[in-house]
Amino acid sequence: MKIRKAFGPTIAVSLLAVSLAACSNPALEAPSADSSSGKLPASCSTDKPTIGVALPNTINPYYVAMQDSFKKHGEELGYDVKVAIANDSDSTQLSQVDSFIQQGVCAVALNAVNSGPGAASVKALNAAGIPVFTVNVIISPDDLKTQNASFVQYVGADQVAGGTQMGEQVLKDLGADAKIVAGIIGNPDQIPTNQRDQGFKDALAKNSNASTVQTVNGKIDPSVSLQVTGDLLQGNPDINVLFADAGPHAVGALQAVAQQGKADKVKVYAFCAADQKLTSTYAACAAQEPAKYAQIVLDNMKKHLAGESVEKEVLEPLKVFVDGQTPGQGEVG
Amino acid sequence: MNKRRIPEEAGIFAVLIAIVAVLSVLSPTFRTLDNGLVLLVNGTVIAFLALGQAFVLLTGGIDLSTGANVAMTGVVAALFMQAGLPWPVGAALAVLVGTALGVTNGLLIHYLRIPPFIATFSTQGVALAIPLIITGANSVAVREAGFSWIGQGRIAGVPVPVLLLAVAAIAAALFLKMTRPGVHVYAFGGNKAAARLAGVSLSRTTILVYAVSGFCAGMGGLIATSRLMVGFPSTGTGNELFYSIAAAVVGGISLFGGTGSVLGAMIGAVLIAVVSNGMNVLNVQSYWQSLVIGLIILAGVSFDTLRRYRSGKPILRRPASGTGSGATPSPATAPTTQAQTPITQQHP
Repeated sequence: MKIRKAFGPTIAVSLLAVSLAACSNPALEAPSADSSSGKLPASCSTDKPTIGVALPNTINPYYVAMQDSFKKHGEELGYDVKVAIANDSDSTQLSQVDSFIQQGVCAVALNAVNSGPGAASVKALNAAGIPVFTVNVIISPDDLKTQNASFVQYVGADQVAGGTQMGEQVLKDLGADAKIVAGIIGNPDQIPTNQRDQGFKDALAKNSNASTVQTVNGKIDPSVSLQVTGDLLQGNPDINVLFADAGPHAVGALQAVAQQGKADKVKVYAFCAADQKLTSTYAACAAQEPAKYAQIVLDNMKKHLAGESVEKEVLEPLKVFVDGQTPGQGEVG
Repeated sequence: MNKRRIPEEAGIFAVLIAIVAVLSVLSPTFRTLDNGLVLLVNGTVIAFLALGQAFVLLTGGIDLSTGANVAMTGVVAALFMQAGLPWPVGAALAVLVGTALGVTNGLLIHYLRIPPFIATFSTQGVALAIPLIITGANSVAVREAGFSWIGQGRIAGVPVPVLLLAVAAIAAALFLKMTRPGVHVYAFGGNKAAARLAGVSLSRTTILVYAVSGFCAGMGGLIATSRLMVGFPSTGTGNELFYSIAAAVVGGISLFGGTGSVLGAMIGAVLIAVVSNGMNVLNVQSYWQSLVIGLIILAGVSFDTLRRYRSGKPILRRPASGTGSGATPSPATAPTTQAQTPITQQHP
């Protein structure tokens, strides 16, 4: 009995020791193939190289537009584009990236679910010697540094500039020293929307009569945005400017303003909602162009695979729409 | 029993009054009538879901598909109207689709014996996917202007969604109290085996409660879509499901069935609407809001549990015999059980 009792633990301990010895921590190793060293995966030299595209979800029309563009433009450039949708889960995305590595793809375009956890996907691709292009969501530089990982290029909108453009538009429309009480329908849980809010506030700060009273959470859902904007307007009756930092927020905010009969009093500035025409109330919006970003990524990927050097960062300005205009297909906040 | 018995809902109602009082003191804008109406309208979708959920919880089941059902019916309603149907027809058909999902849940649970949690979890996935598949994640604009009446209209100054909810809640309360199928719902949840022996049709009751839940979700979908005038494929898939269950439970409906009332569930829903609205009006940072709601749910439920415990009726204690009473009959009931329905002994 005694021997038996000791037997199990001994085996377990020795197995653990063996596995620990055999295992290593990839986060501490130097990149085995620096993405800029020029040594590309073997699959890149086939007739139709496979490109892996990792996207967070296809619930947001933004990513639907991006996905379509990746497929369409990839076909034109002679790539076989494989798209993986992570359903907003960082761990799902990492396993999808692992599966790209198993399939031996030639390069990966990564739109990380979240900025920090995305570094692990970049690291895994580095270790496999597969070049990574990041798009839309910037990967946290700190996390990249601690994991000793690197990507070839980042392509995306300049979120801060987008917010600033809207803030400047407010000052242009209402006057540089007009009294402005602004409320923000944001999503404080996400970095890009917070950057937009910051840009907006910074632009407004040039006017000493302008103040931002509150940020409510619209959760990228028009129905939630309608409710919280209603509350926001109730709590701050003197609001005359709303900044909706995402398309769905704009849809809800506009309904709330209309339903409280404040269409004459309140102007809404936003990141564009799909197909929504701008009016005197919906004064201006800034649009990203996800389809264009996908195209830029693929074009630069082609250059990189051909041995040319590409810029580390491509920041696209946002397209501004004003009263009377309507954002086109795929131009959304 | 006791003549001076305090109504079951008194505890939660006191909590509601206390919170309203605190918020009114803290904010002058909170206590305006205008804000009260905004708050009620904002709360109607969750209240409708809680109403449907109440029926299901009373039988000891759970319906996880309601939030997704809101998204599905909302998009379907918008699509029906885009296809050229007049809005009342489109709206009625959409609610019918929502009810059909509920009936499906009931059929799966009763005839395939799938536990409610799993059955409705699966149909939730289906209901989430359908609007996304149809629309490709794009929103569907509502072209029929008249449709906005459901979510934005007013009768004598009272918003239509609030009236719809009031009518539905009163009808539901009367149904549960006054009618035979209503009493069957309580009997089912109190003791399934005993209810069956007493002649309650389990199939009819199961299908009924899930159909009611589906219907209520359909109403929620119509109201959400009508307020936005856009069918949006992810509307209702956020906190709505969680809040609707919370509203019912905070309102005194036991998760194990058999106890609770529609009035309690509605007070619970108003409580959640008050807290959500109050925190936005008071400019509470959104990070803190779910924390506060979580604490209030905890406080509400503990208050209620404690009160029931003191009066000798613990809410969270499962009946010792439960559904297995056929298998382990207590001495008193065993002979009659055997004598009357020997069939029960075949399925211990």
